[in-house]
Amino acid sequence: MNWVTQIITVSVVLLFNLYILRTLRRELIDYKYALVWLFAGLNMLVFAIFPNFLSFVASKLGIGLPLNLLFFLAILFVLIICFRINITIANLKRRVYALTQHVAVLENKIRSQDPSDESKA
Amino acid sequence: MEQVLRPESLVGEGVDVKKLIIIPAFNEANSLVVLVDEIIKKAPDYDYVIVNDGSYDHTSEMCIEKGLNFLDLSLNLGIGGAVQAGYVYARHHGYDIAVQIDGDGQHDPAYLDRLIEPLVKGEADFSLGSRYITKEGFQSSVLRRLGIKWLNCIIRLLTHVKISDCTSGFRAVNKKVIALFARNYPYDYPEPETIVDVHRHGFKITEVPVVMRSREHGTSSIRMFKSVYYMIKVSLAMFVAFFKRR
Repeated sequence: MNWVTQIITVSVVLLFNLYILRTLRRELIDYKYALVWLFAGLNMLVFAIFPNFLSFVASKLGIGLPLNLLFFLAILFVLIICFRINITIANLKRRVYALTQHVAVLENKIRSQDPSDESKA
Repeated sequence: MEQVLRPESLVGEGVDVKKLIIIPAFNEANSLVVLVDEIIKKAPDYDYVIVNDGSYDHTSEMCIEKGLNFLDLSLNLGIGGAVQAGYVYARHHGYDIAVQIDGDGQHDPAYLDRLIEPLVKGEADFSLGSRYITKEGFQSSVLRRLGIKWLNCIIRLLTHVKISDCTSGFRAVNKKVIALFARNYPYDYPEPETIVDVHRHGFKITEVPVVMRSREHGTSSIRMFKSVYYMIKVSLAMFVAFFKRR
């Protein structure tokens, strides 16, 4: 890797990490998720600063092209995150449904207790 | 692990049995008026609750204007979420029996007493109205019947319960199943899946012959191009429901 490329990668990864930290500081993301992203970000930083480390690990694992290891890890990470997000969405959906139903039941109760309201509509 | 649950008989309590009709409705204000009139005429001892599933027609206004009892869902939850809202209402108000009726006029309230009879006698916890026992009235198209047969087969394979009309939305449940449904109910295309669910929790299922009418208004929630997805989803859901933990 030539040094221009390395400077670019290192700065992009640094920016990424700073962005996560800033998001965390503004309380726009839960620690639960921020930690996962920080873990990924720091790993990227290691690989960006020591590109030879990637080649070393790749050769130990019997992967010919180091970049393939990177792609493999990256895609794996993204898959896991996507799946986790699906779980989170399903969970949120369940809660929204339960809330909507309970609001409706309570609203019905209020309406039936206050008959003067019916004529207004 | 095997739990033997006996349905409780409600005979003797007699007049004290609180019965609720749940009517999920989405943009079918016109047929609702007809249905509620019919319920008041044919089944005066039943309470009813309309679940307005975020309709954008005048359902909500009409219910207020006519003084109909209804739940107004602020978001469109789909058939499963709407029906579940009815069960949440039933549990909240301590109903002994809850019956589901489609808002489009397919189901005749005249059959309500026959439908809940097994529950009142304590012979079952879950009673399903089937149009394929006596094979009278509206029978649906050949393709749909084929799909229903396939789903019946899966149910029989998984639960050993013989059902002839598993997609029927005309069904009655007792207090224990109300509690189950209020807690846990499938969102989309719930009908066949709930049968497996109810069986898994050790409740007794029975079928009662009814005659259904063709839809007066509205269309089926299962349209042509969706039907393949429907079959795959429901089949999978039933297998998964079978292997779920209690």
